Amino acid sequence: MQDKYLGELEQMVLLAILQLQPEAYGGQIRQCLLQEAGRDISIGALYTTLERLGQKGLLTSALGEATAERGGRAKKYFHLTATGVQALQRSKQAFDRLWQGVQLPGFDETRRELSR
Amino acid sequence: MKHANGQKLSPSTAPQEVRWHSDVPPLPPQQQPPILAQLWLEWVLPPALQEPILGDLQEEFVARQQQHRRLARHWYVRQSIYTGLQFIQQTKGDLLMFMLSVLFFLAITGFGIWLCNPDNPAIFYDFPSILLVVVPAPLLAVGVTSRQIARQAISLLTQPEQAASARDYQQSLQFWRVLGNTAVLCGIVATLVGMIAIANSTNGDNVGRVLGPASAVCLLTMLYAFILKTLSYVAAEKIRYVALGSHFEQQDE
Repeated sequence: MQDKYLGELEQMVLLAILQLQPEAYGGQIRQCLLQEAGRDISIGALYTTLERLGQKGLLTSALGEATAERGGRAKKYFHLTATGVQALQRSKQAFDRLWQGVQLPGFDETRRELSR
Repeated sequence: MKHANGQKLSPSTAPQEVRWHSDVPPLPPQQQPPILAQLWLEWVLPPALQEPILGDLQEEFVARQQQHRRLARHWYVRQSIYTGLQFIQQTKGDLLMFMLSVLFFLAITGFGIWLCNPDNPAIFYDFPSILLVVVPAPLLAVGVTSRQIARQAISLLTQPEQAASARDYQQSLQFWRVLGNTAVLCGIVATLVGMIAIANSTNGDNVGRVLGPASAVCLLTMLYAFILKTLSYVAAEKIRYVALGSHFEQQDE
């Protein structure tokens, strides 16, 4: 299962797809990452990640509708497979365990300064 | 999710082979994204991703354009450059490597020429000698094969991923072989003509003054011929390699 561990961008993309279901296609995922995570990635970088996740069997895709704004081109919708959901859960559990009891040095002071 | 005809679809049941929707009216030309950026993406993207990526980019471009047209165009060009660079290694890596190796060969040859005579590298340039090789060799190669095969031979080099039959590969290979061999034969003929002219005009009075420079110019034709032969040989071997790859792929299927 070594290859099922996820990178940060992969986790973000999978979470964005879950947030957007059932309307998760490239443009929407990119917007979601920008608005919710502050990650402004190119559409090429996004599709490279989506292709990689697809090859790992973590998501599937299907072509949908076309509109005039898209120049008559179909959207490609993505959704998570059961393996994808499992991989996401495993990553979350790993992070939860690692964060337990962790206190970042200077974190409380910084937060107090910011709130002032 | 809705299909173009308004029918509801779930992601899992959406059709896999929707390629183009002719019933969707196109945008007016002034609202289209920059055409060069679109062409660049169409060239560099894998066929399976052209439709979704170009569609996503155009959709966001149209939305951005309503706020600021010029910024939207800048955004589209930037996205197309980054996206193209993301895929160029995957889709055009072979072509880039081929071009790079040819450029490297030409650069090394140029460097060698410069090393031989740094003060005057122009001694390696002779326009009539170039004409004697570069013009007749391609003309004879096209004459032996055809213009269509010549176009196909170049196209198979620039787009090796395109599907071609065994006959297409064979004909393209033949074109590059004929071009290379004809270049060498043209070079030999032109050099012999030059040697005859030198021998005829040399006598006891001018032999020391004429023979060296005239022979050098004469041999330039051979140099150009062998440069063209080398490039044609590499092109032919590239076609042969692509054809072998295609043959093994068909066997695997």
